[in-house]
Amino acid sequence: MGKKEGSMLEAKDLSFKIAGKHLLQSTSVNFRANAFHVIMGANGAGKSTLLKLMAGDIQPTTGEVLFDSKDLRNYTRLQLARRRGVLSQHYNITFPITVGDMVMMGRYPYFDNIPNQKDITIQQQAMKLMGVEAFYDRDYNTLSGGEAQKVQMSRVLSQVWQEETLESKIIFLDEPVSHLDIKYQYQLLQVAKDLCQQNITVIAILHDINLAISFADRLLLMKQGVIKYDLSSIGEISTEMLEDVFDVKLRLLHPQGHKPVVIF
Amino acid sequence: MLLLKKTSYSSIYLTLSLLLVVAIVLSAGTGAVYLSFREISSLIAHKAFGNGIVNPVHEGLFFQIRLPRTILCLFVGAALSVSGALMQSLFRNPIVEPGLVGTSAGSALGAALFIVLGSNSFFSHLSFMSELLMPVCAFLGGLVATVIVYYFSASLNRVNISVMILAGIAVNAIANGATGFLAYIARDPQARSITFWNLGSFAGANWTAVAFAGASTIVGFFLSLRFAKSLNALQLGDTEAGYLGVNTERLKISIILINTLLVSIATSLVGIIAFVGLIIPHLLRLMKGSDNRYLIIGSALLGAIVLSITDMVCRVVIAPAEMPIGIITAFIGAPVFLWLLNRMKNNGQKGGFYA
Repeated sequence: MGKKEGSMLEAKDLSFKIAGKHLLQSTSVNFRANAFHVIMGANGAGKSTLLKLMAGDIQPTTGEVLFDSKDLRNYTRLQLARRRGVLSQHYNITFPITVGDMVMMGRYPYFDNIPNQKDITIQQQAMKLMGVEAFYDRDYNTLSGGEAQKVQMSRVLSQVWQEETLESKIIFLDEPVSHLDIKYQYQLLQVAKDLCQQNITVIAILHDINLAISFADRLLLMKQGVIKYDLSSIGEISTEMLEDVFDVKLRLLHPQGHKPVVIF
Repeated sequence: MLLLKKTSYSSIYLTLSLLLVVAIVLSAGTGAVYLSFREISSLIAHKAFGNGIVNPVHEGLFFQIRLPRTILCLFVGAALSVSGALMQSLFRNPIVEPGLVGTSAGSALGAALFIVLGSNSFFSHLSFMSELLMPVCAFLGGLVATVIVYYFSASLNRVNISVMILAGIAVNAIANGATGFLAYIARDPQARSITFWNLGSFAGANWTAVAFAGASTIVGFFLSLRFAKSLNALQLGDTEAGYLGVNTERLKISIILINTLLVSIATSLVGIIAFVGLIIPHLLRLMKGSDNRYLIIGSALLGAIVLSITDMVCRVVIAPAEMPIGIITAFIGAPVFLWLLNRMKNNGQKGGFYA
């Protein structure tokens, strides 16, 4: 949509300071349309801060975020809600709610009081995609951590679900696979990867380096509130970079016909 | 654990509506003089169409005392319960009710100020407006109390819930103290009138009171319904609701204002009735989940039923005297509150409160 080829979300001189501490140093970065971006870094490197700034949850101390070439602050909440979904790390739900109702919340930006047939169809397709349709009537609070995470992913999917027009959209994933077993880690990230084919840009924070290497089109490595390395192809990754960012000894293997593998 | 998981919302509403009709007839018929359902229908037919012959004393009793009292109960019960549902969703906590965040005590103080100072100040020149001024004073008192609590708990543009509850305790103490002081300095009939505020009573019901309660309850109810979806989204957390397009700060202020409207008008008319706002939404959640649309409609219906039945009990248990209704709601409500607290303690953070 944007005239500049591929620039979907752009941070210009973005910084965030709280109580005199810079959680994010002045950062300029361009997120490519329809690519799978992975942000990595040690704890406290500023990953979540960057994500919250880009998603519009917190306001930057300096700089601006351009979404589709327009300042994020010039969007209404509802306009943003229809084009940007966020999967957070934790959800604390006090009251009983069925899984179906939980997923339907993703359609809240689209209907007034009662969901229409289209919302119901999308809700069901999103649940099917994550394999949680059997939980439809279950109380959300009785699910295991991994099941709950899949349900939340269904909710976010139904929020950014593409209809006929294929409007450019963004999905943010903040450690989306922390509670999932290996099979569903791949399943969830593959679902996200497939979204890139539907004019959706993916920005994910991951902790598993090998998982990141498998899915990322672009890798951003953060350290102490700055993006230290910005790799537009996984081939550029090196042992030195990873050791610098994570402060651990590791080895990078390059198996024939396979993406690089990190061992500790 | 949801008791009526498979029952549709509309059949729950229908059942509650039928129960409401039964409650109205029971409450309007019971008292020192018993009026049967048949007599009530003939009284209404006589009033509306002028046909048939009825006992004029019963007619006066029914239309001037019983009916306004019953209808006032319905509106107040609905107002307090809807308000409880709103507060619980706002705080994401099942043990919150309007009494806890200062609204009730602030409203009572506003009303007490009017009773004591109103008669010997320039207000006396406006005595023709006194019926109107009392609810207005209560609303202002409730609003000031709620806004003070809100001001203390709002930091960094977000509402801190635990601070809000603690501030509520402090504001309640100040308001109750001030109301007590006013009762102490008041002349005897005024003091009796203030004391009644702390226990609640429907004995003073009349058609003017019904009009006030009706207007505020109906307006508050429909405003609440407009925010039901946003309140649902708020259950995910402030940030997540924001991601779904909800302006959470505006939502919170709106909910506090609606809560003040509902509670303060009711309190100015019948006094403080505790725990209704706590129990009714809780019962509905046990039946069929926490969708706020359902909770608001269901609370209005069930609150009306429960309060009119409770008031009927107050009229008969120690007849010919009358029990203040606040005593009964406290005797039933406080143990339920403790039970809820215990449940919350046992369930801790994980697994959800009702799981």
